[in-house]
Amino acid sequence: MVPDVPAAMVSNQFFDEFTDKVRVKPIPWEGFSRAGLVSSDELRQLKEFQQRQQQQPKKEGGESLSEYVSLLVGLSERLSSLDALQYLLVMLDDLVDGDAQACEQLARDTPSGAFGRAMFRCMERKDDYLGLKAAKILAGVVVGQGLAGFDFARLYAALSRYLASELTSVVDVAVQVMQSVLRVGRARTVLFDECPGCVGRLVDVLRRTVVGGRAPRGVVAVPQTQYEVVFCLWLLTFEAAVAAQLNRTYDVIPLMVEIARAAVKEKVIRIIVATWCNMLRLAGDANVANMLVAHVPACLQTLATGRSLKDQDLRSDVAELAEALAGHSGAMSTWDEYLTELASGKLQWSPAHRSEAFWKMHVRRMDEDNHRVVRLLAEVLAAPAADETALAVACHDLAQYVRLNPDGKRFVARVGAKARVMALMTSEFPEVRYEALMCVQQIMLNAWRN
Amino acid sequence: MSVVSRPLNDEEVYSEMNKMVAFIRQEALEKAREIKVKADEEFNIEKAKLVRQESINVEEQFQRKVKQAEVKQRILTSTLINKSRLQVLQARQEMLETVFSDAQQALAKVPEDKAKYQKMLVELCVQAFVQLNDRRVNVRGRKADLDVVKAAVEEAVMIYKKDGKDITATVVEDSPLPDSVLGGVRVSALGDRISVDNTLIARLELSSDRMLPQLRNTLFGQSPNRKFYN
Repeated sequence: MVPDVPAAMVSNQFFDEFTDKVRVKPIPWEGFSRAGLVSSDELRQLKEFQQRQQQQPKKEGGESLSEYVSLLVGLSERLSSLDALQYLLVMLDDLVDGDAQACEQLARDTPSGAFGRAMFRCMERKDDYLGLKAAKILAGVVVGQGLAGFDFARLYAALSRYLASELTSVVDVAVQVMQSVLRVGRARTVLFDECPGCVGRLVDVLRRTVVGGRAPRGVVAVPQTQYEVVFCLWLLTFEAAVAAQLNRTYDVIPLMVEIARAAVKEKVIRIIVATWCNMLRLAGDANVANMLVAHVPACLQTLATGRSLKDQDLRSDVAELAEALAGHSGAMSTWDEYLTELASGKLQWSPAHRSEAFWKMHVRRMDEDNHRVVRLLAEVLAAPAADETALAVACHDLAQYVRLNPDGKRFVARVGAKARVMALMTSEFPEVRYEALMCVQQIMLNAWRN
Repeated sequence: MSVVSRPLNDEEVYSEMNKMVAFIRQEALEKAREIKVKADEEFNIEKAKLVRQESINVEEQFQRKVKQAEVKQRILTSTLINKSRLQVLQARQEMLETVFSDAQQALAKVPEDKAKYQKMLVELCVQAFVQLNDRRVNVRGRKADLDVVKAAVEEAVMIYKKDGKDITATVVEDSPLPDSVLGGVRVSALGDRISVDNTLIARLELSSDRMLPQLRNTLFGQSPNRKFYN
């Protein structure tokens, strides 16, 4: 019998070791009973339960399972000792982990909200382990059954705290919980629409694996983290609305290209290509431009020829993606390429920019559509976070426009680009200063004519 | 793998093997999860498509049924309206027949008043003569009215001749009118080839027909849909 994939799969060495420790830690149940927090009935049940667990782990029958579940949930509501809570959660997880039937019963039996409330309370305490364990159990139950009206936002709030943690293990477990939760369709839309902070932190985790040069503290390997985060993004892109917005808001495609180029493990590449396939399939118009600018086709080319990809699905995905992108880019002329580049905001030096013939041919078209191109250039200049190449190229293009189209000077001034270019003359980057100076020169030239 | 300076003992071999097994298992589970996710998504898409298709079908069927029911309803309504119209017409017709039969009965009594009857016969004859406009006419009456008819004819001829036209009226006795004509005369000319039927019953029929509009108005009132009165 082939075992089924568990709904909530978390495997982290630190996490598992801690769990084992908690399992054998002695808890003073009698003490609680004397303090009145645990009734004698419950104490008895607990003792029975522990005996059963030791004798035949994971062989619980139907009704006894729901009894123990309500017992554990009830106790966790009343007790506030960290050790006891950890123990209870570990026991609960042992019962329901990977067992679809048990999850179903859990979702059904606990009176509406009691289980959820108990778990949320655990998550909102200061202890990382407790919170993560509760999140894992909750994820397992939710994914199995899809509790209607489940408060995903609250779960994400807790998870996003963990994502910002310094400890890579904590981050790792949090991402793994998200991997499970995002399998539910509604969870994806809630995450993207209502918790942008959480998604931002997720992307940050990914960025840190590439940019940071520091050795990771903890036991989690960088490729594994990359795989897990991109898996979450992949799940998100199954919703068409998200697929259209994801890159625009979080700029993930260039990041993914960088990772794919440097990746050693095949599964990282596999999941990245799968994400691109989703983005292209479900929201092609929004993403084609950005993919072409980020040189995705070139990357795919190197992947297809450089490495021998072992996974069948990956090979077919790469072929499909390359074909789709080639179809789009083949239909584009140089002017269209220029437009694409401009739309993505990442202008770079290319032969087209320097060629005199290109500008002569297309200067009229820059006035099309209510001077759309000029406005776009102005936007690029105005963006506060533009990088120096983009600024320099934009200044250069504007200069060409003004040189070949004298009437453009007025429009450039009206749109506010003139003021901006003048300000850029004092920019920190030498290249930008030079191009800005040339642009101002063109604007000033023959100004007496107007 | 760690660098070893001596061959591994059994325990170490076992633990290394376990580590490898765990690693392979983890990788396999991850790939399995990816496949499952893809399968779930495809399933959702297919299901949504099927559900949409079927609900469109159900909607269409429902609309069709609604339309059918509407049409049936309309047919039923119009049938009932027609039926009731026919009933009204029938009732009206019966009423008219009653009126006509009553009139006929009253008419049968007219010849009892001799003086009036005679006067009437004279006028009937004159009218017939004028219409025929011939020199020689035959007059026929009921057997019972023979004498009254003869007298009336003489008078009528005189009145007619006053206008300057000549006429010879012969009362034919061998082929009298049947009693069912209730009275009056039948005047014929041109060898009995043209006749003016001025029997009482013929006149009753004429006037019944001509008076239908007034009858309708008196009996049933004007039609509610009528727009023009001139």
